[in-house]
Amino acid sequence: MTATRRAFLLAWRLQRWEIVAVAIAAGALSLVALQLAFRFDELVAGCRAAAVMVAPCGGLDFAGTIYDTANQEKLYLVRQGLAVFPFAAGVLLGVPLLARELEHGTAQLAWPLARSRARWLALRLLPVVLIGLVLVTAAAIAGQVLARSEWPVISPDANFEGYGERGIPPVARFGVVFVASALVALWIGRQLPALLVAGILAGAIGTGLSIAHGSWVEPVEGNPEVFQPIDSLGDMNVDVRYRLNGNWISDEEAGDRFSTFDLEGDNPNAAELPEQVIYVLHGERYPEVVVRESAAVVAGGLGLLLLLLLMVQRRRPG
Amino acid sequence: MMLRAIRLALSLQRFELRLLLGATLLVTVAALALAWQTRVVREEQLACYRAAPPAVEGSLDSPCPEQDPTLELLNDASAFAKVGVLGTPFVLGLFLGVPIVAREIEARTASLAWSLSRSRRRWLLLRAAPVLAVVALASLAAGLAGDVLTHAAPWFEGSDPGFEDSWSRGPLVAVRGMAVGGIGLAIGALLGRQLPGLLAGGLVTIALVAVVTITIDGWMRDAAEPIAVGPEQVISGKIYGSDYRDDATGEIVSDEELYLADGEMRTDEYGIPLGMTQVYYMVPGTRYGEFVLRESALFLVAALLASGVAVAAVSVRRP
Repeated sequence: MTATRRAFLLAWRLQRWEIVAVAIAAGALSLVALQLAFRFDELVAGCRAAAVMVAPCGGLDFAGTIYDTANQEKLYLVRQGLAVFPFAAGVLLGVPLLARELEHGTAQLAWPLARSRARWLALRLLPVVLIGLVLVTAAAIAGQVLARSEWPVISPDANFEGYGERGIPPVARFGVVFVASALVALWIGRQLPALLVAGILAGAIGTGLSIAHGSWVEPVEGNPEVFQPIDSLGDMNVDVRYRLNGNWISDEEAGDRFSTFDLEGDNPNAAELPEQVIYVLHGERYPEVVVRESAAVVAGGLGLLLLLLLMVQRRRPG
Repeated sequence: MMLRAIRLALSLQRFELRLLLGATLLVTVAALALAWQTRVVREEQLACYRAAPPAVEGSLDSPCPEQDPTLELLNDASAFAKVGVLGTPFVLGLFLGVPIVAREIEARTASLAWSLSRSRRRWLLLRAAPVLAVVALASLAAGLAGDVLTHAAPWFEGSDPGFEDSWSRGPLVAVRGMAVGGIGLAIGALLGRQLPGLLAGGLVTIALVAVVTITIDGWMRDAAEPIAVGPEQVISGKIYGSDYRDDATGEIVSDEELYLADGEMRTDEYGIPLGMTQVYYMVPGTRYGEFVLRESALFLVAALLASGVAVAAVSVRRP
């Protein structure tokens, strides 16, 4: 039996339950996402033959997506699931990797017996991370197919809708959360407390990535002539600022000026109304944002991995 | 002896207890602080209303708009606090219930502990009772704070919130905590491993919540009664549908029947057909307590069943 096969077999024996749970979640999410995608494809194919563009087809002209109220709830749930899945999978697979060995005291035997702790860590970590990457990639591909079918008039690679639920970002996010969870587990050394702390940390990483989302590339002033959602399809609004006579003013001042505007009166202060400027990332910049975020996340993950290696060398096995 | 056992039961899970009780305390204090601030700001607004000149007919302007943004902010924050209260019994029950037996089996200390104790049942009782009591008490504190927060909302002034926020307030939160804790205990004893126990316990909890929700909804639908409601009458309760009552004959008629009888349906200023009164099929808010008791009974039965399974599992399984 080769070392690789033995490592995979050991990973399966030690983390069977977690791997099965993540596999079931990945399978269920992928299946529902693909089922929805096929349903949307069918509706869109029907719309191409339709003479009058009313619902559900009317949405294609107005918003770039069909109005399918029957599947709205399911679509919302599956998209939320796809966004959360890489974080949950990272925590669930990353925590027991080291916490179980430390909690059971088996690290006391395994570490002295291994040629080196680094080699031991590599043989324990690589199979689990590879299994996790395959499962998260399957869900991320299903998410990409869903995005293509939900927004059929635009390429998913030029559309910020569903960012983080599809393609490369979920895979990179899984990697960093997995390593961070393993690090927390090594620090705490017990499964359930480590699961709680790693869950909080994963939430913090997710929040941080959401906040940083619009900062990977410089946004530009949006087109003020946007009348229908399809006019800005694929773009992501990142900021709203207010300008009066060429000078930027605060949100509070803008709010005060808007609140004194009399919709039905003579509007004596109409000239003093600020202009709302929306800063956007155009859809064409989607690949650039994906590459930058993923590069930063992977770099962070590698840094954490290095820290994990150092800590494994120094930590007491008990 | 008893005190030592309780101390041991709690000290075995001190990290989880500290973290989770800290989080529960945060949610409870946040809910109470938000309720207090909401009342203070609303009181300021009411004082402003009392001092304001009489409203001009037809004007939609509020004479006291200063407090509106603060009340809106407090309402948004309250929504987060209510989500915290809602999640408290589930997180506490699973994270504290599962490891009670599972950790002992997983760490192989069960064989020693079980052989040293007078009986396995007594051992289980001394281990589980203090932890489940903590789950119930902490959930109760969060639930009571949730109740105070719901009652502080300006739109419930002088009225009963009825079924509003029923998932995040009152003693029912504690009963849910006991049921989830019991499930965690039973699954942990059956599987004998912590993380798998947590996953399986989560699934069983989701199934239990689905069954209870569907059962209670069915009972409420059956209990819904037609209640005539005037256009400006404030009502509280769970509504399952509406019709109209003919004021002359007392007959109940639907929208469709009215439209078919008179295509040009004339309505009053509130949009109600002339000579008719709106009738809601609803469970009045005054019956909230009755349904809380019914739901509590379902969760308590689940808690007892789960505890029975845990006792049976600990009695028969190999350590």
